[in-house]
Order: sequence, then structure tokens, then C-alpha cells
Amino acid sequence: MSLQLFIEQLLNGIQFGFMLFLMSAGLTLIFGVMGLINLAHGSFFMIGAFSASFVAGLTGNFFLAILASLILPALIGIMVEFSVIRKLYERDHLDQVLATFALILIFSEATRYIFGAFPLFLDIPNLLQGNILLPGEIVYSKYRLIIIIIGLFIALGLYFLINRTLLGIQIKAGQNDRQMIRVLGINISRLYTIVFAMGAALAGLAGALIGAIQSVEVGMGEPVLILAFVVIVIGGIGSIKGALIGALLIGVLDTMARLFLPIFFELIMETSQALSLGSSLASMSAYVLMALVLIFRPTGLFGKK
Amino acid sequence: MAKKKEILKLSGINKCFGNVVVAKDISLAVISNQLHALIGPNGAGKTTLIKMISGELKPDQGAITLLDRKVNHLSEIARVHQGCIRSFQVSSIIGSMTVFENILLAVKQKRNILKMLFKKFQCNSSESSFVYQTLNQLSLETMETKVASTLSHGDKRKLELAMALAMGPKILLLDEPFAGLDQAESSKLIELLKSIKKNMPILLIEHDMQAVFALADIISVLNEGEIIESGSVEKIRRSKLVQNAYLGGDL
Amino acid sequence: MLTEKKFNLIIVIGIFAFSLIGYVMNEPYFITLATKIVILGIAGCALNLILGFGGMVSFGHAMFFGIGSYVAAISAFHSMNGDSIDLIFFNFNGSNQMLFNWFLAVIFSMFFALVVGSISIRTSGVYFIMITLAFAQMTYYFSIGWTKYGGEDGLSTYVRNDLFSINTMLPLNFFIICFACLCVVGFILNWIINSNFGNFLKGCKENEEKMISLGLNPYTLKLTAFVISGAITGLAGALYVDLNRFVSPTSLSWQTSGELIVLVILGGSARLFGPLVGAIVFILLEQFIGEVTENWQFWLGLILVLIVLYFPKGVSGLFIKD
Repeated sequence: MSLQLFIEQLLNGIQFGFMLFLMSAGLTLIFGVMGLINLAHGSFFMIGAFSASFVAGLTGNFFLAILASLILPALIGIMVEFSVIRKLYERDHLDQVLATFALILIFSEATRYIFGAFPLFLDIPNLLQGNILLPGEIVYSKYRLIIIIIGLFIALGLYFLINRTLLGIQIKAGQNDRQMIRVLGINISRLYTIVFAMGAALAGLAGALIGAIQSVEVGMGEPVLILAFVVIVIGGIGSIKGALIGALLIGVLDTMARLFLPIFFELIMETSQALSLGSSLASMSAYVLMALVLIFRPTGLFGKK
Repeated sequence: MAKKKEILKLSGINKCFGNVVVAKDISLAVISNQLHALIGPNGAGKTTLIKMISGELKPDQGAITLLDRKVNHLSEIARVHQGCIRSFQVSSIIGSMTVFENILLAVKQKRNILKMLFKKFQCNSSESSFVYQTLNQLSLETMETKVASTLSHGDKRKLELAMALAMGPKILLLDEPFAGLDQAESSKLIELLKSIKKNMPILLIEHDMQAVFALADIISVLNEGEIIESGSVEKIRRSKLVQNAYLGGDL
Repeated sequence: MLTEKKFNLIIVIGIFAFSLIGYVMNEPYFITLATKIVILGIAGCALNLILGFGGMVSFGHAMFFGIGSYVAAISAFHSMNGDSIDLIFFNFNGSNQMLFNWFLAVIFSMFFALVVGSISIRTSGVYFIMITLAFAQMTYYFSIGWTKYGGEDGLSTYVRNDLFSINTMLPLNFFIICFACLCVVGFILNWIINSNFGNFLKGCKENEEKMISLGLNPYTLKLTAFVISGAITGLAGALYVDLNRFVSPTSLSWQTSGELIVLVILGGSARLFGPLVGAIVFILLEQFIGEVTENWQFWLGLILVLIVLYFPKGVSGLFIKD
């Protein structure tokens, strides 16, 4: 295998990692601040992708589409937070798992009802189509590079938001001590709504960005959701830094395992079997990593004891 | 009365959390038929000490001896089986079960999982006399069918104590049993502990000085992880060191 | 309002009557529905032992259901094909005997429950939820990659296994077999939750620290409960293969794990047969809303949200008084 291919795949892994980060950041904040396990987070990923492809189809403008993928999930997030999620903060994890599982059913079926069962497509704008030549003679997709850059900016933005703004201080206070935010006189329910909407918007953005590479279909959010959970558990629930590192770790591990495992198995068995065994073991790799991390650090890499 | 015998002995216990010293060369002994009270201001390291005795925490240095046997290496559960029974600061009873069932939990054997699976959760004849004896001793007999979460605060504390007693302890570690009790409940508990301590060594950690002075045979005062004074009630009352530790407050 | 005993009796008799009606009216589909209810009910009740009574939210119970299914299916598959599995000491030819395949399914799922449980039970809360999910996902992807047994397409066994000389292909006969399993499982679970073991399990759910101070080792107790639960779920999986004569990776997926939790909460987690009621409601909803609209899951979701928010005791809580 050439070095170029290796680096290209490594970049793909990083790109996938940043996508996972967009999902995990919201998930981990929502758990850290409100103590909520939100299985419906994957639905916002899907809603983001559908809103983007709908707006793109209507206006032909990709950037408006991306804007829609932020705004619509946030609005729906606010609605759901008001009507259902709010009542779940004080409940135990079991109720949260079940209620948000039910929300997945509702969102998926509603989307299927509105857009039909067939996948939609979201086209990459002309400006971002094609490849770019990176230093070292590496040819890489412009669009994927843009995704990496967006991911980087959002990671930096979140860092700034958490550490340099009033909202960030409130979020941190909420993570450390629920009682404290009451004492500080912070409007908790507004804080919770903002955090939830922010998480939904990030998930929606991730959905739209990925939607342009894959197809936009019902159920697209759940595989990413489950991986995002793996990410935040590895990183330590509640930690944005943990989410970033976990996401990049999983993104690269998953991509590399998909590249190398089939090659490895081809050495010892016939091609078709090697391909299917390799790819299924590659899908397992993230979970194996998570189990290993939990065995040695039961609260994740950056989680509080 | 039995001979004086050291039931529990700590010698040279040291413990640090990072740079913070929470126990500094602590040595003390609880003698049979004696109530040894451990007092000290908040953050003096009392709860840490009880956790080390019960096995939840391991000391960095020093020996913990229970009935002439060094127990440092024993787990929390093993120490319970040795007869070192602890009650909690916050009443930790099983709220969804009745008073009777809570005590039954304390009485039942818990080592053999298979036996636990095949035995019904009910009192057999040998257990029942003991269960009722404990209920009577704490005057909980009228409430045996009440669900524990519906009890008053004082009764919850009594049930907590009853569960510890029903374990048949060799020594009782009581972590602030008077916390949150009103005057009347307090004086009832004092009478109760007076009768229990006649044949049970007790290590009592308490803030309520009235109760400590009424009950203790020996008092040790803990301050910043160190025992600064130890002796009879009279000695402690008069001690300058102790008064300073409590910021000059009256005892 | 009824006592729990009467309620359980009514439910069990009701299911039996439903399938009898199906038989009399010559509607085998009714019997199949009742059989499905019984099998999912067994799995749900098994999950409820650790979830409702032990407070362990396993989000990976599909793993045991699926392992039971696959083990039974693979055994039947080999018996049908005649090609044997080379084991070190002997060749295993597979089996078409239900009892034997159930036994295999139970043994395998117990073994997996022991391994997964001994690792998972060291964690708690959300980490427990996620690590059980992780293990289930591993088995899911493994089954997809195992092309010898169908991979993604699943594995068909074509005929039902044999039990004594009963004609298991007759829907009513197979229903009665499953119903008998339900009764045995119900008896066992009822025994467990009323034993010392069961009460200490409830104690662990409420206050594990206290149980330690009473001299109990919560880890072994919870692990034992986990293994029992896994074993019974595996049995349900084996029955499910016989019902459908087919198994696919879907039975190992996280959605299946989620649905098992749905059964428990829908019916009521504090009750022995709560999940059985959950299975009745779930299957009937699927059936009747499914006839009206193909988006039946939307309405299922809505009903679930309402139940979680406003009826925390589940459907059985509406009928049973404390």
C-alpha cells in the first residue's frame, strides 16, 4: 500500500472523527449538564440532513441548506425539550432511555411520512467538488477537507464558549454541581433549553455535512448515535475534551480497521470471506476499545470518579 | 462483667489524600463494655477514620486490629463477618421494605448464593426470637409491618441501629446517630445506647456534645487528622487544647 | 383493582384463551400472535429480573436473545444439512431435538452472560448501560460477518425441531410448548424474587453500600442474577427460532435490546408478569395500528412517551393495587 493511500485514509478517519465529535459534543454536554441520556440525538442528525436536502432542493443553495440544518433541528429540539425532555431530567436513566427511544420512533416515522421511504440526495456544491493537492503529493477531496476544517473551528468555538463566556461558566457550574446553579441565581430551565438546542443544532449540522457524502435516509442517525455514545463513554461523560479525543480515536480506529483488517485476512483466507470478516471485525473495533477502556478506567479517560 | 479486653485497636494510622493529611499517627483502642466517643470539628477526619476501620478505605500506614487479629488486608465484607458493624450518617434503610423485612435482611446469611436462592425470604423459628428481641429492644415492635420509607426520621434512625444490632456485632461503629433528631428523640436514643453499651463495645462518632458527655466512657478528640486529647469526660471538658480546637467555644 | 396473583392468572388464562379462540375459529394467525407474545414475554420477564428487581439497566439483552437463537438455529441447521462441526474431541452433528437445542441455547447464553456480566457489573449507571450495549453490538457485527451462517441475510432452518412425538408444526401444539415454558419460567422467577436472593437483589437496587455493610457481596449476587436472566433470555431466543424457523442479525441489534426494555416498562417493571403484559400490548398495538396505518411505530412511540411520563407503573399498574 502506498503512503499516499495511507495518509488519505488517515485523513478520512480524522474527518469521520470530527463528524463524531459534532454528535458527541452535544450528547456529552446534555448528559453532563442535565444528566440526560438522549437516544433521540441521532434523530437530530437525520432531521439536519433532511432539512438540508429539502432546502437545497428548493433553493439550490448549499449554504442556505447548511443554515437550515442548524436552525431546524434547534427549533425542533426546543419544542421537544419543552414538551417531553424537561420532564425527564429528574427521572432515572431507565425512563430516559425509554422515552428517548420512543422519540426515535416518532421522529423516524414522521420523517418517513413526510419525505417517503426513498433516500434523498444532497449535492456537494461545485465549488467544493473535486480534489485538492496537499503537500506531499496527496490528492484529497476538497469537501472532506472542508469538513475537517469546520470540525476544527467548532471544536475551537466550543472551547472558547465553555471557557470564555458567561454561558460557558453556567454550563461548567451545572456540570460540577446542580445545586450551585440554583444558588448562583441562574435561570436553569433556560440554560437547559439552550444546551439542548445547541446539541441538536450540532447534530443537525453533522447530519447535513455527512448527508452530502452518503444518502439522506430515515434511520441514518442511529448508527452514528451509537458510535457517539461509544465516544463519550471512552472520553468520560460530560467532558468536551474527552469527546474530541474519543471521537478522533474512534474515527481513525474505525477507518484504519476497515482498511487493514480485510487486507490482513486476505493473507489467510479467500477474498470474499476476508472482506466480510474484516469489515465486521472493523465494525466491532470501536466497541472493543470501549470495553477495554471501561475495564481499566470505569468512568472513561477524562471522566470524574 | 467480662474482663477488660481490647476489641478494636488502631495503632499508628496514617492516611493522606494527595497532599492533605487526613489521619496522622492515630492510635486508639475500644475496650469491651466501653463506649468510646470520637469527637472533633468538621473536617477533622472522623468519617475517614470510620471508613478505614470498616474497610472502605485503606490506611497508608498503621495496623487495625479487631479481636487480636490484624484486619488491614481484609475487605469491608470480611470485616463485617468478623463482627465489625457500622451504621451510616444518613439513614440507609431499604425504603420499599417493611421494618420487619429490613431486620430480616440483617439476620439472613449472605455467603452462600445457592442457599439464598433456595430459601424463602421469611423468618425461621431460630431467627424469629432474635428478630423480635431486636424489635422489642428498640421499641419498634408496633411498626414491624410498616413500610420503612413511611417512618419518622427518629424511627428510621432506630431501624438503622436495629439492623446493626441484628447483625450480632462484636463492635458497633456508629456514625453520628443523633444527627437530625429532636430533643425528645435524642434523650430516648441516649437511654437506648446506655442499655446497649452494657454488653457491647461501641465507637461513637458524634457532634451532639450532650449525648457524648452522657454516654462516653472515654472521649478522643480529633483535630486535623490528629488525636489531640484522649481521656475521661471530665478530662476532656477541662482540656485547653480541646477548647482551642473548637475555636474557644464552650463545651 | 386486583391483587397481583389474580391479575397474573387472568393474563395467563387470557393468552391461552386467545390462542384457543384462534384454533376454534381456524385462524392460525391468532395462535402465532399468542405464541409471539409468550416468547417475547419470557424474554421480557427475564430482563425484568435484573432491570426491575436488580436495577441493572441492560441495553444489550438482545445479545442473549440472539445467541440463544443462533445456537439453536446452527444446531438445527447442521442436523438438517448433515455436515458436522469438528470439535476437538468429537464431531457435533447438530440436533433436531428441541430439548437439546434449548439446553445448548441456555448453556451458551449463560456462558456469555457470565463473561459479559463479570466485566459490566464492575461499572454502574450509564456506563453499565453503554458497556452492555457495546458487547451486544460486538455480537451483532460478528453475526453479520459470519457468512457461514448467512451473515447479514440470516439463517433459515425450514422446519421446526422435534419434541417427543408432538407434531410441532401445528401452531396450537407449538403454542402449548411455549406456554408451558412460560409457566415454568414464571414459577422460577416468582420463586427467585421471593427468596432471600431476590430480596437482597432488591436491596442492592436501592442501596448497595448498605448491603455491603450487612456483609453481602453485591457483585456475586448481581452477577448470578445477570447469568440467570441471560440464560432465560437465551431460551426465549431458541423458542423464537422455532417459531420463525429463521434467525438474522436483527435479533442481536440494539433495537431489539430497546424493544425488550420497552416490554418491561410498558407492562410495569415492578411486577413479575409486567413484561408479559408489555408483550401483549406491544404485539397488539403492532397488529392493530399496523392494519390502519403503516406508520404504526409513530403511534407506538407516542404511547410509550405518555406511559413513561404519566404512568410510571406501566399498564399492569392500572389494574393491580399495592
